[in-house]
Amino acid sequence: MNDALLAEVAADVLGSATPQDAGDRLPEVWATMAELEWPLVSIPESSGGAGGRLADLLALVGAVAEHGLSAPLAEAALARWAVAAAGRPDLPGLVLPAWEDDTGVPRGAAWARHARNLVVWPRTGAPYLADLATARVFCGTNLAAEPRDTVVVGADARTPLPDAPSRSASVDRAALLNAAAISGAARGAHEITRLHVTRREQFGRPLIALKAVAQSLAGMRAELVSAQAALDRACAAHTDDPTRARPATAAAKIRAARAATSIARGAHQLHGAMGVTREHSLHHVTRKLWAWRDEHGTERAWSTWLGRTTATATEDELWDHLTG
Amino acid sequence: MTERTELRRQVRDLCRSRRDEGRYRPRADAWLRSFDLEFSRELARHGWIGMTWPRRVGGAERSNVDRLVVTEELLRAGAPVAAHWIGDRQIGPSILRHGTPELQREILPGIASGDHVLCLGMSEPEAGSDLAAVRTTARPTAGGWRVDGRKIWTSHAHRATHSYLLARTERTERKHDGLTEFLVDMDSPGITVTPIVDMAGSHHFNEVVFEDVFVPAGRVIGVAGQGWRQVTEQLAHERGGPERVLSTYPVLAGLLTANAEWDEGLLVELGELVARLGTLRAMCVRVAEALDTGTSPIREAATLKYLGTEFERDVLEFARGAAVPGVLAPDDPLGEAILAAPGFSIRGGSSEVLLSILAKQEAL
Ligand SMILES: Cc1cc2nc3c(=O)[nH]c(=O)nc-3n(C[C@H](O)[C@H](O)[C@H](O)COP(=O)(O)OP(=O)(O)OC[C@H]3O[C@@H](n4cnc5c(N)ncnc54)[C@H](O)[C@@H]3O)c2cc1C
Repeated sequence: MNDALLAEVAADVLGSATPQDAGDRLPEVWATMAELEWPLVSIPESSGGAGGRLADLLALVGAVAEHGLSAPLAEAALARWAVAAAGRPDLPGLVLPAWEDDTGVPRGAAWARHARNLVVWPRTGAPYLADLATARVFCGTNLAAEPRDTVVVGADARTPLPDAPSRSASVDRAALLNAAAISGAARGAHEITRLHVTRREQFGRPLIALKAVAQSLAGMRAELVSAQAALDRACAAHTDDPTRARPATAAAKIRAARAATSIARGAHQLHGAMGVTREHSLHHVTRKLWAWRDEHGTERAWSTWLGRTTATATEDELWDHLTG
Repeated sequence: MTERTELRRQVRDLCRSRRDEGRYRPRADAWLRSFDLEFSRELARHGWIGMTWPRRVGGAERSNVDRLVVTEELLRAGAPVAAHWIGDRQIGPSILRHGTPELQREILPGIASGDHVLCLGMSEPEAGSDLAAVRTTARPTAGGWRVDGRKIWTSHAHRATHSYLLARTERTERKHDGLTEFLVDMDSPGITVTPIVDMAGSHHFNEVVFEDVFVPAGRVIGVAGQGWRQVTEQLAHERGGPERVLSTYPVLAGLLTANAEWDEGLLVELGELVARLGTLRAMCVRVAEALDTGTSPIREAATLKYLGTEFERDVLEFARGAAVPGVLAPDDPLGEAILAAPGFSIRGGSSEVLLSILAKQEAL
C-alpha cells in the first residue's frame, strides 16, 4: 500500500470513531482494525503476517493516536511480531506483550485484561507465552485511563517461546512503536490547537493573529518535525541495519518524550481553561502524551544509556553512527 | 564501499592529515572564522567546491546529499573553510539558478576553483531582520547601474573578490518589490571596506560603503526588480546546511577524544545531545534531498536552523560542565566558541524571525 492510500484508509476507519476513555470494553473501532489485520502489518506473509513495511505499521499507530483513540494496536502488533518469530502465528484471539519487573511479575501490562495470551519477557531467560484463562489480572490504568494491568501467571500456564525475540529487541521495538504513538498524539494536539486558535477570538481578532500565540504554535510544530524526523530515522535503522536500531530508537524516544512535554504544555496554554475540561477533546491526546512519554523507558533512562554508550565509544564511532 | 562512503573517507583523511601536519587547528565556527585560501584551493582541486554544479562551469555534477557528506566532514574536523563557504553554499547556486549563461561562465568556475571569494551584502544599518527595507540603491545608467549605500556585518568583505549585493532599483508601494540582486567586483572604484571587530577581538565582518559604484548590466542576477523571491530561495541554501548544527561540534569531539569520566548527570545531557544531533542530521539529509529534487525547502531550512542553533549553544553548556578547569582562555576552543555563540541565532535570520516565518504556515 502506498503512503497516500494508507493514510486514506486510516482516516476512513478512524475518522468516525469517537475518542473515549478505555476501560472495560475494547473500543468499537478495534474490531475493524483487527479485521483489516492492522496488528499483522509489517510481519511477512510467509510468517502469517499481512506484509507491508514497518513504516506502514508506525503510520497506523500514529494515526490511531492522532485521532485520540485508545486501542491496543501497538501492543497487539508487537506481540504478533514476537509470536510470528517464535513460530506461533496461529494463536487465536488477542495476544499482547508484557515484561516482568524485578519481582518477576508482569506489571503495567497494557490491555492485559482483554487478552487470551500474553507474550512475557522475564528479566533473564527465554520469553514465555502466558495463557490468561487461569491467570489473575489486577486492573490498573495509566494517566490516559488505558488499561495497565498486573498479571499473576501460574507455572502451569506458561509455555516457553525459545525462538521469540530477546527482551532487549522487544523493548527496542516497543519503544519505537511508543515513539510513533507519541508523535501521532502530538500531531493531534498540535492540530486541535491550531484549529482552536484560528477560530477563537480575543481582543477582537482570532488568537492566531497575536504574534506570541502564532509563535508558540510554530514552536510546537518544530518539536513535532523533530520528533518525526527522529522516528523516521529509527524506523529506517530497524528496517535496514539492526545494529543501529537501539541508538536510533533511543534518539526517537527521547525526542518524542521531549515533544510530548512541550506540545502538551503549549496546547493547554493556548486553549486556556477550555482545554482542561472533560468535555473538550484535547485531553484525549494530551493525557496520552503524559502517560506514554514515560512508558518503555523514560527519556532520562534512554539518555543515560545513549550518553554512556557515546562516552565509552570513540568520536569516530559516534560520527559513523550519526552519518551511517 | 559505496561511492559516498569513499567520498566521506577521502574528506576525512585529507582533514586529518592536514591537521596532523599542523596546517590548521580544529576550531568551532570554522566555516565563518577560519579562513585559509590555500586549504580551500586544495578542496577545489578535489572537486569539492561547487560539486553539485554542471561540469561546464567547473562543477562535479554530484548530488546535494554528496555535498552534505563533504560539508559535514569539514565541519566535524573544524577545518578552515571560510574562504569558499559563502560562494559554494549560496551565491554559486543562486547564479546557477537565475544568472545568465554569460554570468555563469564568468563567475562560477572561479568559485569552484577557490579563486573567487564571495561576501554577502544584504544587511544594512536599518535593514537586518527586515531585509526588504534595504536602502542601498542602484540607478540605471549607460551600460549598467550606479550603486550608493552602506552594508554592514559583511563577513570577509576585506578578503572578498566579489560581493553579492541586494539593492533597491525601484521605489514601489510594496517594499518587497523593486529589489534587485547584483554581483559586484570588490575592486570597483567607490567601494570602501572598514573593519568591525567582534568582542573576541577578531575581525571577520565589516562595513562596506558604496559610493557611485558602477556595476555592468550583465551583473544583475535574475530579473531586475524581482530580487525578493530569489533572496528567499537563496536563504534556504543559507539556512538549511549542516553548519547550522555543527558550528560547535569540534568542542564536543574534543571532549569525547579526551575520554573523561562523567557523572550520570553529564551522561544524561550527553545522551540528550546525541539524540538531538542524530535527529538534526536526519533533517539535514532531508533538506539536501529536497534540493536534489529541485525544490526550495524554505520551511524545512528555517526549522532546521531554528532547532540547530539551539543545539549548537547547548553543546557549549554541556562542555562547561564536562570540561571547564575554572579559568577558560579566550583562545581555548570552548572559550572561542562561547564568545562566538551569540551570533549563531542571529546570522542568517534571527531565531525570532525564523519562528515568525514558521508561524505564518500555522494560519493556513
Ligand atoms: C556573526 C555574524 C555574521 C554575519 N554576516 C553577515 C554577512 O556576511 N552579510 C550580511 O548581509 N549580514 C550578516 N550578518 C547580519 C545578520 O544577517 C543580521 O544581524 C540579522 O539578520 C539580524 O539583523 P539585525 O542585526 O539588524 O537585528 P534587528 O533586525 O535589529 O533585530 C534585533 C533582534 O530583534 C528581534 N526581532 C527583530 N525583528 C523581529 C520580528 N519581526 N519578530 C520578532 N523579533 C524580532 C530579534 O531577536 C532580533 O535578533 C551577520 C551577523 C552575525 C551575527
